[in-house]
Amino acid sequence: MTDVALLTAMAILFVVAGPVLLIAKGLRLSIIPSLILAGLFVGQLGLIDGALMLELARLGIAFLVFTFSVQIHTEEVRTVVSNTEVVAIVQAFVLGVLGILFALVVGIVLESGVVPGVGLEEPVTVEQALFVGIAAALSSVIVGTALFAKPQSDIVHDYLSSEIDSVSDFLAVFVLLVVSAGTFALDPIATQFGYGVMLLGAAIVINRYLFGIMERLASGSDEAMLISIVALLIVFLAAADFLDTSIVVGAFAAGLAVRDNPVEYSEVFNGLNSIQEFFVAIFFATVGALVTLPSPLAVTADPSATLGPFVPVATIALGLVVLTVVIKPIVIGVLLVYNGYDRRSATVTGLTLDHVGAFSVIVAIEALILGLLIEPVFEGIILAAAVSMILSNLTHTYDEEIYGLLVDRGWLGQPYHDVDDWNSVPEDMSDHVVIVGYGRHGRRLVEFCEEVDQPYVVIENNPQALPDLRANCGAYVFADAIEPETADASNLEAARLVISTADSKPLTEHFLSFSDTVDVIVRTRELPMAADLIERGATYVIVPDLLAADQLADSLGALLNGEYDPDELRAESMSELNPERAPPRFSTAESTSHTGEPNR
Amino acid sequence: MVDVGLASDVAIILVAAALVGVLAVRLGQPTIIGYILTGVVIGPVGLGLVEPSIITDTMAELGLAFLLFLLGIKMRIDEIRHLIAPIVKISIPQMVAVGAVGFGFAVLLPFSFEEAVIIGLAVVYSSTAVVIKMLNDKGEATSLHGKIDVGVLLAQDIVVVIILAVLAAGRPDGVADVAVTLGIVMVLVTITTVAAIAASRYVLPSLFRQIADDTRLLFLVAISWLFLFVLVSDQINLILSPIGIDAYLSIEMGAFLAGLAIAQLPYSKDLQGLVNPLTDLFVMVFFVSVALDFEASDLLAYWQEAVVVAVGLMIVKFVVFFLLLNWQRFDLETTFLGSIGMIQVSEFGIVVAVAAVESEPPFIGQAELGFITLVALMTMSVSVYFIQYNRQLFERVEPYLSRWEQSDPVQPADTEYRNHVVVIGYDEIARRALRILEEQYDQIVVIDRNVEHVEAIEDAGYDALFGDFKYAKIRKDAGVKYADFVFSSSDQVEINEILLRETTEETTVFVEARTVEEAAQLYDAGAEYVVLAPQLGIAQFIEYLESYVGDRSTFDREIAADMELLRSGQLFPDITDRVGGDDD
Repeated sequence: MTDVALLTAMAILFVVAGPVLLIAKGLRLSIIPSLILAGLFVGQLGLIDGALMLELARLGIAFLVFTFSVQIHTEEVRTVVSNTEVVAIVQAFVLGVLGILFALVVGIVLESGVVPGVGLEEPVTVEQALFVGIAAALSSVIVGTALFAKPQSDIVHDYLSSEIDSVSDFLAVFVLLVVSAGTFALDPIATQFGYGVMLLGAAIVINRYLFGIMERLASGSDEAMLISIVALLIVFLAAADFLDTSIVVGAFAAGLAVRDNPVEYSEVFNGLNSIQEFFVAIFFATVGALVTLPSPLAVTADPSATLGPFVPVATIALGLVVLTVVIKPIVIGVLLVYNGYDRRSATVTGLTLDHVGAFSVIVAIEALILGLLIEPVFEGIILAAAVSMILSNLTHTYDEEIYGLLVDRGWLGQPYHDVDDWNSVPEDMSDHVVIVGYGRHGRRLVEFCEEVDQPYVVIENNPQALPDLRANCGAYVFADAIEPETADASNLEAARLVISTADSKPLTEHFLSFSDTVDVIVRTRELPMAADLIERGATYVIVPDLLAADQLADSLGALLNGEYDPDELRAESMSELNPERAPPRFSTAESTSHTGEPNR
Repeated sequence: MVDVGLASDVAIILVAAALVGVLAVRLGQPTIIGYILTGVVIGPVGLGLVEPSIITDTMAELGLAFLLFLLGIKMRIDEIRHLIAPIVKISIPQMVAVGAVGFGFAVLLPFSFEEAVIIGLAVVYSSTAVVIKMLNDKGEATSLHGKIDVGVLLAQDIVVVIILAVLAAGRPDGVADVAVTLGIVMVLVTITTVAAIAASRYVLPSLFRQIADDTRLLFLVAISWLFLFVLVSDQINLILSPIGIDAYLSIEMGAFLAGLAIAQLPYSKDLQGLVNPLTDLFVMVFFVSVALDFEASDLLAYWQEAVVVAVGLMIVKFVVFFLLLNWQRFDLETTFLGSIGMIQVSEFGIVVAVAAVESEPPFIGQAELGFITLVALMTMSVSVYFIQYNRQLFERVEPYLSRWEQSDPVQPADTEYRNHVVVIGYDEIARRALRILEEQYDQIVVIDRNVEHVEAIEDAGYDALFGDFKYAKIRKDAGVKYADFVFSSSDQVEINEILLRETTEETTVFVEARTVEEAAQLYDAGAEYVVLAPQLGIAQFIEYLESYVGDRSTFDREIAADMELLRSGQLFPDITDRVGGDDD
């Protein structure tokens, strides 16, 4: 009864994607490049009606942007820009300019006909070059939430990369809004922008006033709520369509209109999530399927005629890959070191962000649909995205090894200190406790050492913690703990005990190598890891849950034995939360942890 | 380029259905009714705003496929094995009886013999979409009457596939022709079933174990698995025609079997949560599009006849099912609920009728197709109310049905948890809690989303549920509402708030938090005790450190028990726990 061509196309995409995803999982590749690859395979079969699939794929974009903007709370948007965010913006700017220049050069070379038989039907204009620049600049992986939830990680480079990523997300959404709203040829940019603002305004009005009515109407039915939200999204998409603006603007506005209430409507948000996953998968696979590779058969038959049109695509892709995989980590690294981060954190951060971002793919496809981008440039960007994402996976997995290699070659120079007081340890310090990390745990340990007059040295590498270090710590080394000079500066060999409070594998390994001369206590969240660490010389392993379990066992036992009834327990434990009545160390740990918090 | 534009038919369908759907919920009506009405109102019969497009048709098709896939995922073979015999014994006589009655009605009314045969064939089935959607919404899909209904629906589904295959082959040349088609379909269904079951036993467990920790991957690979079956069922004719076999398999059958294979894995619960919303979305499009294919004149050509037949069929279907279920010794309630659910004519009836119209030469005309569709729409709509209020209805009529009471009915298996302990997330704190709790409670169920944890928990002899606590399905299966004690070792505030919303005053709830602010928030939400794990942990560690600084041998003694535990390197070490910590 139906024309199932679309269904068949979808089925083929997914059937191919499944095994590709499984193989990718085995190779520890992430999902997005795997989907693009799967699409690439299917695309070469020539079975897919691109135009039709694209319609479904655009729902993927819509949902992606939508769920991203749902998480934005209009009341809570920050206006303060942190150091790292400046790094992210400068990085994007530098790479963007490099990308534009590169594309223009490629365009001029092709135009001049230096290479015979290779050329483009349309010239690479500044507009085209702009999109190559965008692809080079933005490395987001659609993390979004990181900007609103505080980073959970102890590790400096982890929080650095997630912060840079989320800035990148925002830049990408902004670019998308501008690109799609602003570059329509016929209308003046201002009008288009006006429509965009109108939609956003409508969204905020809905968020504040109408959404509550919607909630009441759905009267607690998850299904009704889910379809209402989907319908709301569709209405905004249609409105965007009607106003001749991109659906991205519509989806973004729709997201703002929905109140983020993941607790009350957990099922609804789960639902949106899985609908999104489905369409996003279709989106990335379709993007892959839109790229035409020269078929091997045709190449052997007539190399020049087949490869001719592909050369520009490959050149752009290759250039972008070099820009993102090689140049970008260097730019990020230099910028971070300049901002006071140590060379290891800077390098490792660069190595996690060295790819064309997922949002850039969306920008490219929107531009293609709007007729702003010519096919070869589009294909170049998509290929570069797939390749650079896969390479980025690799560099991320082997980041410490790559860093080691670079240091051994001497390419990173000497450790760089932009502050004179990077080390405040007295020469003759001995029999002291070395505390690695000045997060919540580190601070508590410092307080304890001061209470019992135990000499100590703190090692910390986060510049944001530096003011606190100066103010509160008698002796500290502000540097990467793994650098040999850090061990020297902290007189590690003469120490009595090293306590590493960071749950980081390279750090843990580094300190365990000293376990012959000093006592070493390391930390891990994973209980099964602990056996191995003890085997390798750890004096003790901090497993926070194991320690907490002891304390909990008392309360639980008392409750079950009937010593307490639930209400008493509740009343008593609540009163312990009150800082005045809590044990003194406990509360100070809390009150000092409000600044430089990322290192917790 | 196809101008779907987002202001197109799909958009209108989604928005209109959402509006009517919300209205339906508001008025206490089932959403299906809202969706079907939407189709009538915005389709050619009503305002004529939309016509079916490739995208709506595809979404509708996906809706059925996902619905059956979801159903498959819920079917654990161990739980339904004992029902297979009674279901076969019920479904075959039922189809014969209802088919005969449908034929009889049609012959009495102004239909030709041939038309009457098609009408008879079309009204046999009950609606998979309606029954399963309603059972899911009411949470009765895995109750005894739910399982029976689902089993019968699947048996009917096989028959639909056969009928469609026969109709697609054109006017049969004789009994032999029908028999061959029948044989091929039966063989294909058997092969697919065997393949699915074999895969679920030998291939899928290791495959899914590798990916289960990653929700996105699990979801996408499961969808890929579904589409593999959809693709094969859909293209079976293409695959087999080179060797001279005309074959036909329904996408729905394939989807069901794909789901069935996954259902046997421990990860199926999580997948239900993931697949459900997509199903809701696509099924909505399906119900809306049911009424989209018709012009008002065709649909209403035989409206009086349709009303008579609809009423007659509903009564006959109920009586037939009631007698058959009773004959199979199900208890009165199950018999009643199982029968009342099945009184409608299926969307498959429409599919069969469409095939009959499209057959060369056609068996029936547009007006007869409209008649069958109208009967289906009316019976579906009415039956939705019967299912919605099935228990209330049963209470009303129970006194009059006492003569049908069974003395020794088939008993449903009861596996629900009551007054038990639920532990969310497995870690060292949870392990310690488990050891203490098991002295007081018999039933303990642990929810975790990590394959290794779940295996360790099961090895240690507790019940384990693989899944994400965020999903209502998991919470329901763990019986969180009826738990006496819940211990959450998740430190995500969101998870714990969801938990505290679900539990009642009577349940004692322990949760974990990272910061004092979060802890305060959770106490406000009603937690009995909030474990501030990081703070507790560091407090304990500093006690150790105090000994270390003072007297090394005391330190060694204090950490001895910890060290033993740490050295074991096991998730669930079989070591006697320390007798509490030092009291503060």
